[in-house]
Amino acid sequence: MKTGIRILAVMLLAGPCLAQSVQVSYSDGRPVESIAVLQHDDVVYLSVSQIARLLGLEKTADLATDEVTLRSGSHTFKLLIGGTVWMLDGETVAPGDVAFREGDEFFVELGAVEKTLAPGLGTMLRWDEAGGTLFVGLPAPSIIDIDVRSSRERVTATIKTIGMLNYELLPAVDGKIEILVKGGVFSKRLGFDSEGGLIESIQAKQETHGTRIIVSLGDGDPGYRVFPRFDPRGIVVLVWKRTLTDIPDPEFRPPRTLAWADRFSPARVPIDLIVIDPGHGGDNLGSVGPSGYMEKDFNLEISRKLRDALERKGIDAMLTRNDDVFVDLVTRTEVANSVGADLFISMHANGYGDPQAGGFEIYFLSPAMDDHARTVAAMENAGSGIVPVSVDDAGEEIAFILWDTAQNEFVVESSHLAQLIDEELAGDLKIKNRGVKQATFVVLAGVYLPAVLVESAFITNPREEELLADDAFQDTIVNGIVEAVLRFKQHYGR
Amino acid sequence: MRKAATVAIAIMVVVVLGWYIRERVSGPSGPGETGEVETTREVTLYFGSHDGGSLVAEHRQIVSSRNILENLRRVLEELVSGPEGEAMASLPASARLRGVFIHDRTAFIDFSQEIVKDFAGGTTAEYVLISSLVQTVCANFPEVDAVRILVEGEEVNTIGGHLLVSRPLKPQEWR
Repeated sequence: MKTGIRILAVMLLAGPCLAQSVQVSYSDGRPVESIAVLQHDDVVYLSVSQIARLLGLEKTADLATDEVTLRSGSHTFKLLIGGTVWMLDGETVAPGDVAFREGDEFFVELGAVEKTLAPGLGTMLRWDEAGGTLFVGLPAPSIIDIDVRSSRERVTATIKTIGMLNYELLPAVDGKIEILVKGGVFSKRLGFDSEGGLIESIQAKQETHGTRIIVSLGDGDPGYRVFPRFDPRGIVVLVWKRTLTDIPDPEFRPPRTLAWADRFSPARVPIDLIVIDPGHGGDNLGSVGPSGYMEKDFNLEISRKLRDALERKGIDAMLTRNDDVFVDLVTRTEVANSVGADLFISMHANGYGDPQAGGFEIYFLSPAMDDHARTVAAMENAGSGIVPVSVDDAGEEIAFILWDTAQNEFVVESSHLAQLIDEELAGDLKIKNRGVKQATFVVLAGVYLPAVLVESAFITNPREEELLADDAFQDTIVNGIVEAVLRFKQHYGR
Repeated sequence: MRKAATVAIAIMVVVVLGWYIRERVSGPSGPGETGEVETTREVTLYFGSHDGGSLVAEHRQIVSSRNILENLRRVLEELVSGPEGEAMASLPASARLRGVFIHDRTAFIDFSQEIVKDFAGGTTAEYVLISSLVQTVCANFPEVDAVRILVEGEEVNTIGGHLLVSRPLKPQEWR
């Protein structure tokens, strides 16, 4: 009470407090009306009674304690007049000293109503100063839905948004991930429950500056990744069952293994750890050239060169094998998933029965049938210029279940990276460009990050076998891939 | 008990009757399982092109049976035997066809282990192998929408170490 009087006194000293008439325009169909507000030194104040009426809130005021409570549905806002901290649903918000009391009425600065009070209660109030109009209503929801798709090995939850919303990912604590979606507003009840699932529950909470999404992970320390999705727009939470608890060959781990998921991500993803997969190895020779040069040896040589070249550009890189040993395909995949890598590049040389067959080609994994239409649209948007294979509807459901791979989430990025590598190599490699292709690679199917496979040349072609063993040719391939990675990083990453 | 006996008798009658009809219609030396007059049928086989970037069709006459599995087996054996023209073989010549069956519009093709052991080549060779099988089967048998490859009766992940085959292989995807 005392504080209110003090503020009023200050105002009176500073200049006259004017009653000002403003227009109110409602989005819910109520007719436009004119109301009187207080204005002082260019600051407009609304009375709490007006706020409650405009926004359709339930109001209780305690004149003894200077406390006002506003309710809307499940939300409760407590304002303490003269205090700088208010309570929204039991949590503190700090709008500053923005309210005062005059007689039996309380007044709040319009800016605080606009920025703190109205959004906190899931409503919208916008002051158009130039037009002298207050716009009142429900904000258009920017978080429209949570779409959850589950399979035995993984769950993909897509938080669908209108527009790209920035978000901040808080590190997992007690199996809970929190995503703060800046400016996010949701109007309908969002949530998901699945006891015993990889994601046990998802809850959304409206807060002053956006929406807090709380994802509770299931037992068994599942792997997870949170990343922006550009088409359809949203934030994807991908959670998967770990198949290996220990990462094999820890000596190849780079010194810094900050998980992608642990970093703040303003709708951009960091790209600074790349897993390079030298195909074949050990008893698994791959293709063998007419003079005896073996694909497994080429793959390891070029992969080591690529690793060194990327590291010179400040991008960490690691190999799935650094010796002439065979590492099974699942382990290669798991290494990439476990170390929080941002890109996966599998290096191969091609082979065919006709020794004249030659050229380079870049592969990414064929998308799931189910996602075909979405993928076509997304690829067109990404400007990758790749049109995936067409499929008909027959047996689609079965095919989808069997081909619901981790790579589906990254098909746009993967195809784009393949396209960039192809472009870079096209100018420099003086062999046939066989183009960007799609196929169902085992080693790509389980990878939870953008992934491509490079077939550098045909080792079964005598001329290309010689080239594959040639340092200059190897360098050309390495430089082309590095350039493509840098372009990719510029496009998606930071 | 009585019901079981009735069923057993019914089965015996059917079996004996079936054997009798078969013997009468085709005779012991008659061609084909169901004993119709021997006919031939033109089939399309797909082999690899020279650069491995596409498939090449070859037309051939095979002895046709009324049993679709028998026809499927003959077509596949022709495919394994390789091209007569300029195209490239798609399967290792040593691969033996162990069996075929069709379930739910999917043809299951069971090869001996040589299809894996004697496979030589890279992604391109492997792609040609799979696509030639899938396209050949689906082009000649409209009853089949997809192909599954088995090795020694078991589902395998991959033939040559690159491409995943433990799923229905559809002609729309394997061009």
